[in-house]
Amino acid sequence: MLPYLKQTEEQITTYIAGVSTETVKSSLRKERRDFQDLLNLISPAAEQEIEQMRSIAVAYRKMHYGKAVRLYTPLYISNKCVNSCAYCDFSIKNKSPRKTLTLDEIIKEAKAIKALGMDSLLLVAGEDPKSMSIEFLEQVVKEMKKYFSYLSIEIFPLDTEGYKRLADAGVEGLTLYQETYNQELYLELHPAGPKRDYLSRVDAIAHGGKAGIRTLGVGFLLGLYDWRSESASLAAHAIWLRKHFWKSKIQFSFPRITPVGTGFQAPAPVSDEELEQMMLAFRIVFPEADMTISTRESGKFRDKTALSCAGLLSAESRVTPGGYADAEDKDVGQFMLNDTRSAEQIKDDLKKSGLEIVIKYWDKCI
Amino acid sequence: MKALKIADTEFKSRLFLGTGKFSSSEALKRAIAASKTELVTVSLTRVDFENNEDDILSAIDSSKVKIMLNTSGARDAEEAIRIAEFGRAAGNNWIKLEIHPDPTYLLPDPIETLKAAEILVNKGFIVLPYINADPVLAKRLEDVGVHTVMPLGAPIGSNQGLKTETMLRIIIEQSTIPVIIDAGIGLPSHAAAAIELGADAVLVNTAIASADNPENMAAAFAMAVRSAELGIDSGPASASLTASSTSPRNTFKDLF
Repeated sequence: MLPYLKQTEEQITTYIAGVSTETVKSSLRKERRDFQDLLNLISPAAEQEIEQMRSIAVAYRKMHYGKAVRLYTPLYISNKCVNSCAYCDFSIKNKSPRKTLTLDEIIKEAKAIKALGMDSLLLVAGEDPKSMSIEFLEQVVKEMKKYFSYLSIEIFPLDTEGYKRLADAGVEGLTLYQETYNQELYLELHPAGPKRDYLSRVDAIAHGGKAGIRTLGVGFLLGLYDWRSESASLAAHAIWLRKHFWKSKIQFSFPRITPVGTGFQAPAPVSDEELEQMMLAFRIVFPEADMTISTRESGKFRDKTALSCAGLLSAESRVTPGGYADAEDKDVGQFMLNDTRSAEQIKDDLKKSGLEIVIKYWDKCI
Repeated sequence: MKALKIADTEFKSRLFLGTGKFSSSEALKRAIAASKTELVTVSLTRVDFENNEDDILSAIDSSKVKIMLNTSGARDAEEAIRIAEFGRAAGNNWIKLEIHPDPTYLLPDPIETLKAAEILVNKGFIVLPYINADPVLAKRLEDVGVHTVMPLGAPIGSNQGLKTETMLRIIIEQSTIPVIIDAGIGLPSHAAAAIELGADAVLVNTAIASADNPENMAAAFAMAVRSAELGIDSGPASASLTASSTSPRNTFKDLF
């Protein structure tokens, strides 16, 4: 459980298990909701009210984002990593060959992504201080800003100064998943490497907030631990960030474990129904927050949740460094994808559901 | 009502349109036509001036409708000024100044707005600032030479109507420049109420873009605004707390 909470995990999970349908209905009737309402909406009792939750979520999504859905593409600049996360193929224990792209190779990737008709980029890298210095990252960001309107990063934690340098270079968004908020499990899954420090990871996203990064992306890896307990921690974390960094927007992601080469089995798998309930609950309690749904999910599930929850979708993701310019690249990817549609196909499918595809949602000049 | 003139441009329609949240450029195009608007705002974060086929820009016939860039996305004066300069380089001298650093309620920052407004006016821009319904701020902006003030009725996109009515009345009473009520207008009746309150115009976006039928909703807003305007021009009878018969008996007093 997220430290700093006034209630213990046992109190919270006992409360969630005992929520009545009436309490769920009362949360749904409110105009503005809080942490307690989130607990009510992720409860087993709320499963009965899923239709009502869907219609409220659709209304909020429409109010805040209209019919627009934004698309972005990840660019993996390195799969070298000194951590040993049990669920990730970039783990140092996985002996497959690794690479870090050079600036020229990154530009080649950027051009290939632009050719797909995309204008928002998520830079992803494993944690490898030797090949991934802050100076190099800064240089990459400045170069990418020449090609893309909107840049975000999903890399290892930095301090406030590091984030500030990247924000000044053009980074608008930061994503840093806690993986699991359960401390014992966290230690078990991260046996070595700098990532083993649970508290420094919890605090790192706040460094991004202090550095003035506009969008703070949070989430946990679905399938590691009880999703209800994790959701409570995630909501508390988000409320804390929102209060302290009032100029930053919170973005929720719901990465669900897909098969990886290491054969890691999710100890607490989350079903489609549960994932939808969780997303609806967060959409209703945090109507103004951004929400993404990645290509880890099937096209069908993504298109469905784009109507009620997610306003931000990745498209044509390739999770290996160099995967765009060299489509035949067989290097190690981070995880398995379930939505392998082309960007064009995704755009067509979303348009058919009545959504407007937004490619440009920021500007190079800001 | 007094003709609506901003800088040197006169507008027949008192309904301005925002262009975000539409489901397609076709839907936007039809809504613009149905609204009979002569001024639309676009966000630089959404349009691409370098692209001739930009979805939003290609939906707007700039010979009939004026395009005004807004600074949505800016968190401070410096960013807003950068956006305005970029817009001017693309041939756009009118700027809807909006600086909202808070992503939850998107409320405008009064300090940064005043700062940016003064600089932009001095640089020769036609400046239309989006502000909270703060009468003193409205006067301060007028003092630095902005061309309208655009106070909110309620938070952007909330469709709650004129929640700030008491302050809007003061702004309208004191202003010597046009007052355009911007955010919060959710229904045609809210738009009509704004005009009846004395606003010179209204700006609507979410209420039209997110309607099931944006084209018809745009027409409904156009009618509501025109209806309120015609009502005002027709000299409304005064309101009174007591009843007043529609067939006053004293007309017939000689018969009895």
